[in-house]
Amino acid sequence: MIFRILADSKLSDTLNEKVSARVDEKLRTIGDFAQKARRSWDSRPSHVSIARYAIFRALHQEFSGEGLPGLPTLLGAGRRLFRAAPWLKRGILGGRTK
Amino acid sequence: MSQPFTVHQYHPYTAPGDAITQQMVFLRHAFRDAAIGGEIFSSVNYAPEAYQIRKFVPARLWDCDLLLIHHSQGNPQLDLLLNMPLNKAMVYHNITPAHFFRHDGEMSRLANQGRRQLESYRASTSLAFAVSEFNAEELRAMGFSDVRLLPLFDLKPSSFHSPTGPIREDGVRTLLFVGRVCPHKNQMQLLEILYYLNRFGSTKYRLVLVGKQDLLYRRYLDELIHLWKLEDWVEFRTGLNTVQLETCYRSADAFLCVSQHEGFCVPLLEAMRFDLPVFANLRAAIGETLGNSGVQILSHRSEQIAECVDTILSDPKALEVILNSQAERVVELEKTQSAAFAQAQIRSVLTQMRFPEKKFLELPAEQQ
Repeated sequence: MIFRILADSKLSDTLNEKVSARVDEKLRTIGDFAQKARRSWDSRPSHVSIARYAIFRALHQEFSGEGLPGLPTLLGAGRRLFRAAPWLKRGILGGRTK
Repeated sequence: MSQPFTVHQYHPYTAPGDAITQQMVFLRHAFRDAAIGGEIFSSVNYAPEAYQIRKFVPARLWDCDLLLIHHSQGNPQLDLLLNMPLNKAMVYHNITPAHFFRHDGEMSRLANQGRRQLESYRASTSLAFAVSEFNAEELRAMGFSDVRLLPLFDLKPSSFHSPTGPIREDGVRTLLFVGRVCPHKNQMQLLEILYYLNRFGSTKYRLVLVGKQDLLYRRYLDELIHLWKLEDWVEFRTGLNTVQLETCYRSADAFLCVSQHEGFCVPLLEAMRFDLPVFANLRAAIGETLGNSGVQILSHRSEQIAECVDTILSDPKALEVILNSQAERVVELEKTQSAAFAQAQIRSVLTQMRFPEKKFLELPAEQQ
């Protein structure tokens, strides 16, 4: 059930079916909406400048917890590398290992 | 004739448009109408002179029968207040969980402090007021033994100017949300719903967001608006006076709330009062405020919520059922969201405090 209208359960059921059918029909045409809406921030749209896109990504990370695609993998790989070779971390961070 | 009662109120921060400040002013009026005196005190006041807020000085509180300490986020003066030799009661407004303020260290700290301070209240006062049953349950679960309700405002029709139908006739449907622009109010999802509606809905929609703004979150919303090319369809309004706010309600076609945390959500009732169909999810106290009225959203998926709004707003029969249910809910809530209820609640407490046992009214058994 997508929603309920407690004042009239029959009307509520009928409208739920209608809404559900409409969503299914549209999603068949447009694909998964959530994915589509969110895909627009996975790569920079042409009308968004590089500076604004960078700001958006930073804010998006802050408020949604979603990072750049590939970034967690990259960070994870970096962490594993540093664990395996702490001398490399010391070298890169100039001795600041904490 | 007995000595008149005095009830003072305190909150660390007061400002115009702030829900706690509005309730304090409403209560002061309601109490004065019942011949109960008292002032509002605050440590940091941004409200204009007309609100008659007094600067907090401990010595000024000496003459009260009861001190109402309004509590939401952390209160830097709490230890001082709880140690004063006065009758005290907390008015609990709920505390937004700290994880919604990860981006704001100070708000996060205050939220955590506010929650910790509930323990201090419990140790110092047996009486607490809550502004919703949802909040009251939270206090009872913490061990508060005497929790009563206090109204947030007066819902009677004369508290509002003349409500009429939508005043914008440009063929664009207006969705309204009133509440601070911040992460837990989830305006981000409202934008996502708008994005869907304006691409796949039966007509064009605009979104009006009324409320003070968390600047970083507002910037995030601005970037989303730019990304989704919604600049022409979103309006932010802030610092509105009562008439301007009422105009927003009168201009809208529906009130849409996908907030993740609400201790009561007064705007739902304001929307009902202005005959706006209300679409809201059931997080926190929202279900209690809606009762059996409005459209109660169960899905978290933006495309489903959008389609629900679009379908129902195009269905006059459904709208009639929803508006009737809301009118009934307003009548139900008028009983408790009223000056009379506030007066009755406070009178019962004050009478108990002044005459704890009332034994002097009872004749000894041998004289009966």
